[in-house]
Amino acid sequence: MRPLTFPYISLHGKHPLPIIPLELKGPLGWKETMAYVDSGASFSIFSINEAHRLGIDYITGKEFMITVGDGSSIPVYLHRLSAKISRVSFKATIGFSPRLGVGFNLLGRKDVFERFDVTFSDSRRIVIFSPLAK
Amino acid sequence: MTKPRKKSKRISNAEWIRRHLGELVDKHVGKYAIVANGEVFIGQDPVVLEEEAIRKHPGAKLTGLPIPRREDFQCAL
Repeated sequence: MRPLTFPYISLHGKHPLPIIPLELKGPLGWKETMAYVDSGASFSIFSINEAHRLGIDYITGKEFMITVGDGSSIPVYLHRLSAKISRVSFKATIGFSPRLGVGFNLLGRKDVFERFDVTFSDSRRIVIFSPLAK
Repeated sequence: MTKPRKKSKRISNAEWIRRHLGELVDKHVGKYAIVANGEVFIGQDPVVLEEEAIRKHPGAKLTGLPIPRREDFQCAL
């Protein structure tokens, strides 16, 4: 399968970041949102607004405490969802947290980096997702 | 609260966001945006925004985005 290339998104031409579209499936169907590809994150963590949009009662997920940058821990509620990046579908563990302190949804390693080899090119301002065989 | 904005040339929702994210961060930080067919709907409740977007663009693909803060672009995640 051919690699999927996504251009970075920047703020007025500065601070380019690997933010990509992806789709998640909840009780209300497939919904597309944008997420920051975070190779330093063990799990994907999305805002609770995304859970509302998907029709997911996020608090019913498995509660997990995740350590964040300042050393504190935040509660994350894990759900197993169908996901798609472009035309490639896969199952992913997605966490929702009411205490996500950053303004992006975070696409972390679990399930995602096992389904794709992910290459960041800051010089070309692109991130490449190369699908792996299931 | 929703605020429809004027349409632009038909591009993918992700491309629209790539082109307009700076404007969204400048004016609507902390809110949620739904993009459909080059039109953006901004407010606090994504479900309400999505309903409005579907009414105006039935059958269109919708893309959501929490609008980040300027400082989020320089954080250590």
